[in-house]
Amino acid sequence: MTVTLKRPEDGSAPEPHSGATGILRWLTTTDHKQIGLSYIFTAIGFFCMGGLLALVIRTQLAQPDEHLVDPQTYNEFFTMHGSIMIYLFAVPFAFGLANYVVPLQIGAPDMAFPRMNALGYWLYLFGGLTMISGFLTASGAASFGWFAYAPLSGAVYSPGVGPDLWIIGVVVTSTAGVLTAVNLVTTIFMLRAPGMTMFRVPIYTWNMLVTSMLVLVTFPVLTAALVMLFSDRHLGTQVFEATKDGTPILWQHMFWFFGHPEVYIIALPFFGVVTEVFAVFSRRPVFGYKTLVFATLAIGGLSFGVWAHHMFATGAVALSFFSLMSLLIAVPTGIKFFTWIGTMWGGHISLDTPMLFAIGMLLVFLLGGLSGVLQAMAPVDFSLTDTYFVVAHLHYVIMGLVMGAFAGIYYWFPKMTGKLLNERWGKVHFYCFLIGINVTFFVQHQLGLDGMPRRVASYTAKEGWGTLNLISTIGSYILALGVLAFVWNLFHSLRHGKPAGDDPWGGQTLEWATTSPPPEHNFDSLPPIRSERPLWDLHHPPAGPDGLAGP
Amino acid sequence: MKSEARIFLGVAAFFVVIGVVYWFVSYENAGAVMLAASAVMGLLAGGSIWFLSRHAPIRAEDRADATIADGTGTVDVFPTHSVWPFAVGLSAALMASGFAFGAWLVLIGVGALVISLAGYVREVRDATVPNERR
Repeated sequence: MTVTLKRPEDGSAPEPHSGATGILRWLTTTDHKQIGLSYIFTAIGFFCMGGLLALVIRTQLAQPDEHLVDPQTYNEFFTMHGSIMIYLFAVPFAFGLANYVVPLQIGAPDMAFPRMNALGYWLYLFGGLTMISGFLTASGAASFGWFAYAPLSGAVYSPGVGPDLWIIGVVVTSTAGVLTAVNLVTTIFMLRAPGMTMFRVPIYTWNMLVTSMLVLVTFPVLTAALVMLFSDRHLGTQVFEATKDGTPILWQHMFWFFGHPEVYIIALPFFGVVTEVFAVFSRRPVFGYKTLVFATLAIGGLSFGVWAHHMFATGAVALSFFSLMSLLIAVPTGIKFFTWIGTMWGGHISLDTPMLFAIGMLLVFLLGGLSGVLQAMAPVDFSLTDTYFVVAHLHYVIMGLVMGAFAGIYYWFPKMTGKLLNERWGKVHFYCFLIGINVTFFVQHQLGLDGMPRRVASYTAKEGWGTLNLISTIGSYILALGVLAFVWNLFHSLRHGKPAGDDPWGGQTLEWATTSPPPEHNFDSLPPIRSERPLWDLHHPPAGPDGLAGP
Repeated sequence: MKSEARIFLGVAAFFVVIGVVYWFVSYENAGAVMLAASAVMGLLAGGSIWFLSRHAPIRAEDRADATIADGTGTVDVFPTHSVWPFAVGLSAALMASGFAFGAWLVLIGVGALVISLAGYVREVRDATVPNERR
């Protein structure tokens, strides 16, 4: 069934309900909010699975000569840990959140293409299941690392159906990503509420727009590379076969042309989330709105000039170009940090859980960013590449973003469910994460400097890496406790959470103008839009001839 | 819609600049081709939006002084629910995993994909195209 929607006015008639309930409703829904929630819950499921794999990895490394799993299984585990976290958690989670929030923030009744939106979710789910189903095959799952370097990922070194399922899974999920990106761009361009010019669009939505554009440029390149890899494996082509006039380094160029902007595809959504959180929980407007927009565009652009800093050690790339660009991209990111601190400066800060996670993201991501600037310098990279220093760096970056993701969940959960998440459990979750991240990953910097290579299944006592590895493993269990606290909080608050009301935080953007959870097509009426924070304007009318009316 | 077009045209301009610089710094083919292709994508999207914006009236969402009432009228046609996205997604995934498991599964997947795509497209047509134009 379809409905023709009119703009919301005062007292418009309620929308017809689709009629289906339960699992049938979940299978057939085209409502962006339901689809967004499906994305979020599926992504959290994959996150837990990737986390379990990480715990096995850390347990294996806790002591020298530990052999909990054999080396082949270990390789499968770190490959699938990385692949699940990047392809099946980070991007889909960000898109799930955007699915829910973006139409609400711009005053739209739904995404521009609701059916295609649902199709994107199903492709993501089935693609993800295809990827992890490699574990069920006789040859095991893919074991070539999440970036699948040729020629290791070719038919000679990685035979079997598991790697094929990995390739197919990534192709299908990245197709889902492209569909969602097209949908988001169209929604933001075509379905904004009257008066919401591009420079009144909330920062989170701006960040999702730039993220979507990055996806549109990069995911097709990844898909193309994967198709070539598959045809090398099965159809007898030799694109990446060095022995037959192919060029293995082409894989690295194509992969990282996707892979580095991918870092920003994961980062920008959560930069957007914390921008909203900082403003709302400091009771201040976003400091430097336009600066933030242009910084976001600059990060998006520059992210396309840095891909080969992953390939310095090949000795076959333009070092100075990529070094310079990698250092440059720190500038707009620094501007963002400046505006976030500027937003908080002098505000009435309330340290609720979303705000704690946003501040945590600032700290953790900053450390990851700084070690990134170090490695942008080619000579430093030569000595650190493929050591645990890189593992520490990338996990600081990504765990910073995971903090941002949790800030988003705690911030918008009341809108999605009408209930508040429990603050006490939220704080347990936060401190477990803040401590766990630093205990797990800080020592890995030193391990890298001591020469421990990444992706080794075990090490001997004489290398002297035992103590730091044990500390790191203890940290990973603290992180696991944090995840348990979060999952408990989620289920507990869904049943027994305090009612949130429409606007529990004093929000500034349009999503807080509707009910919690919103009705089927989001808005029954809209406030006038005169700035980038229409709801704040509504609750704080300007002093003037009208505002001064009194006795 | 001019600012929307400018965003994509800006993308194209950026890729042209960085592509030229990259080429003369490195003379490396793969990166230069990918940057050039990205410039074309930006031009395609930005150009078409620019073209549309020249022939379309200024929309209420592009005017800073527009009121909610200015936007009164039909927004678009939206589905409330549909089973076809699920069917298309499932059959596409079946077809794709057939490439790992064998041609028999590809055939089943293609069959299911054709049927479900037909259902999907027909549902969109029934909702949006008036009877006399079908």
